[in-house]
Amino acid sequence: MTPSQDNNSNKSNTNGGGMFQFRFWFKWIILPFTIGCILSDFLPQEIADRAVDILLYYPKSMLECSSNQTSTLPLESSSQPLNPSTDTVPEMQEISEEEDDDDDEEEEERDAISRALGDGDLCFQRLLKSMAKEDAQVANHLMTAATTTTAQEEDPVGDSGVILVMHRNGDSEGCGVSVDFLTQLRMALLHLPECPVAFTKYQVESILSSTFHTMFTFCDSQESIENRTGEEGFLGYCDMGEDKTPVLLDHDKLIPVATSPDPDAPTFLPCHFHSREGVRMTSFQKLMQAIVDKYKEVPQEICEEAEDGMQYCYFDDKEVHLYAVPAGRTFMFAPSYVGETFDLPHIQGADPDKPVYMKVLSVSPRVFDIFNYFTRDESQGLVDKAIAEKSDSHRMKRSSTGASGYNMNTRRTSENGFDTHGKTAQAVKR
Amino acid sequence: MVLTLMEKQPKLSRGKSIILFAFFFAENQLEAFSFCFCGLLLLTIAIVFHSFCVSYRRCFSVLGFDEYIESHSDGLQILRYNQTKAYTAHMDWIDDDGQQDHNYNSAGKGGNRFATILLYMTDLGPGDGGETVFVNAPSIEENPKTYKEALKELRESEHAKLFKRDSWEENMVAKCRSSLAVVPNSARAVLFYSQLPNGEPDPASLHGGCPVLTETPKWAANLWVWNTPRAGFDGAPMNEKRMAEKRARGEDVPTSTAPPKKRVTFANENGKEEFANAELFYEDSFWAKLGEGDPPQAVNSYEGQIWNIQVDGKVVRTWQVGKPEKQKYTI
Repeated sequence: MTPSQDNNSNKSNTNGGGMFQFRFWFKWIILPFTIGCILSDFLPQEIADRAVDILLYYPKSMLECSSNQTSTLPLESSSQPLNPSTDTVPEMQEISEEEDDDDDEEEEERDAISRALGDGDLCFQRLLKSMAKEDAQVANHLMTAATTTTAQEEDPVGDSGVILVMHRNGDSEGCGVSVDFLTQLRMALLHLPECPVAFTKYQVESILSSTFHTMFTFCDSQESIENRTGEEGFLGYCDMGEDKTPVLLDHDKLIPVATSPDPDAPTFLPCHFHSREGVRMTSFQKLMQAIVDKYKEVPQEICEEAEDGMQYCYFDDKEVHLYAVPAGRTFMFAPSYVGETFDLPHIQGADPDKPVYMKVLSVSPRVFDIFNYFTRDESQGLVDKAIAEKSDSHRMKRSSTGASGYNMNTRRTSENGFDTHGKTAQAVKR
Repeated sequence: MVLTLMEKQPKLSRGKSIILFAFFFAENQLEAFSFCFCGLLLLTIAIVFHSFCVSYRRCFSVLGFDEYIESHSDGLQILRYNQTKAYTAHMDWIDDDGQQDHNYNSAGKGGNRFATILLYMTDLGPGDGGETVFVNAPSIEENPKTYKEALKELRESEHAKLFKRDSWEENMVAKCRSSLAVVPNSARAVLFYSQLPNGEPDPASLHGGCPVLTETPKWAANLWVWNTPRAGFDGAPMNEKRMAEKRARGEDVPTSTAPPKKRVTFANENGKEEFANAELFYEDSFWAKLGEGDPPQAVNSYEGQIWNIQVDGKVVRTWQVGKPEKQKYTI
């Protein structure tokens, strides 16, 4: 149990002056910070671009007093047409024509894309702008293909070679494949009644769950009838039912998904989505970046010898794998063979020069070696602290077992202590 | 206003637009350059802060959490196994038979241990024992031994004298040499799951601590992560059946297994010179300055928690939080 600051006793003065406060922050914090980002080029381009987006869009929304930019999304509205009169697209379209680039060719390309995407594609345009320039160009290419072709006549994402493979949590075998998911996602965003300045991860997960419900009908629950909701398909997997869904601390923030515009239609809790390496897809940018990164990979040529002695070669598919985790559940790695590796570049170990990665030791049970997770110095630090510990609750003593109390187990002859708030313990925990 | 300016400069690059932006907002050139200076300063702070955050996100990031949630983990359990010491095969998933206020049924709405990260802090060789054995998983050695072969090998070795014949420790050594076994090395970390994706306990995760055969003690640590807040924390799932039984008996039914918070105030009131640079620590974690002139610190704490006053890195005063709802400690 961790102590916390008693805020009731340490009240601080808060300034409620909205516009004054905004102007102050904008003038002295946001603006200088963004300039710093642009001028120094130290930060990744996407962060700098994101800041620029906030600079360009947020002031206008503030001036127009549109305070409900991140209101709850009526996701069931996917079957409702977008209402141009209530949509904020025209003004944002205007902005998109104003911003960037001294490269005429690129400007024309963007204009063409904007025209192709249509006025309702504000969210997609923002998505593109939030990405690094080079990646945004690739994304533009994919977007254009997804917009100007239909799945029937020419498969846009299939042509790019990127395929989305959906997995159930912890399952190395995919349960569904899609080659037109960009089109589907674009349509889902297109039908939103408004586009928030920034989506929360719960909005993203709700929209993705709603979109994937119609795409991955085979990714249904594999639980027995009594252990799942009546809903078939993807949402029946995402929402395991009240009796099978642990209520986590953020449960109230989940945005349920409806399969019908009927207000009385049942709603379902959404999944959350992770990459093979465990990264949670908390934004559309992350998902789009994964697609772009995969698109940019050089395809691997695979050659196999057939029974007739001839050698056949083909290019391996570029696949983006997503792992859907039901509401209230936790992501679990999905090993497929002993020796398989999982690179974890998003994890910084104790030594920043050494990459953290995992290697599968066993598929069942799921056991992994984690390399470069902590250092020998940290290791020694934990031992030294345990030896020096004097408090009765934390010092080394004969180990016990069980959910409560101190129960000696004759087949557990080790000693143990606890390190709840040591510096090294905190570092390796978090 | 801003948009009007931008409309007149549609072909500007993003960088130029921003610089123009700065001058538009600035009242003179000096202020514009001060914007740039502030920007670089804030950028430096941001980079330092970013590095700090990244280094503190290891365990939960590895497991796919996008944020650290204290209540989803136990304290780090440090283990020492001296020669011959061991832990028979067990699961980290806690089976309580429904007798606790906490709901441990992770296949339903309950919470239990979900994953374990095992940290090893000792270098042991292949013949030194002390491995972590997964008794239901096959060995990944090139030439794996059968249980009988391993038992015969042990009984013919110098280590035979360490254990009684047919003792559980002797059986474990043989099991350790014929199943998947992780050999301890300092700074080696291993992850395994105690639950299946649907929350059911995974019987394949049955594992044990093999007897240490060498005189060098084995040091290791358990980092347990739960699928919900664990017992004793806000938001931990309650055993509804047990609560209903308590209600039927007319007993008080707690709404949470979390212990009651104590409002504790720490203050430096006596102005003694020896405490002029005092600092308040929760156990080893710095909390706040409590030197001369520093404001009192009001915190929510819990009975039994340890708070320390340090001066120049040395603990000079220790308090343990007691039972009263409101408490005050002064130096």
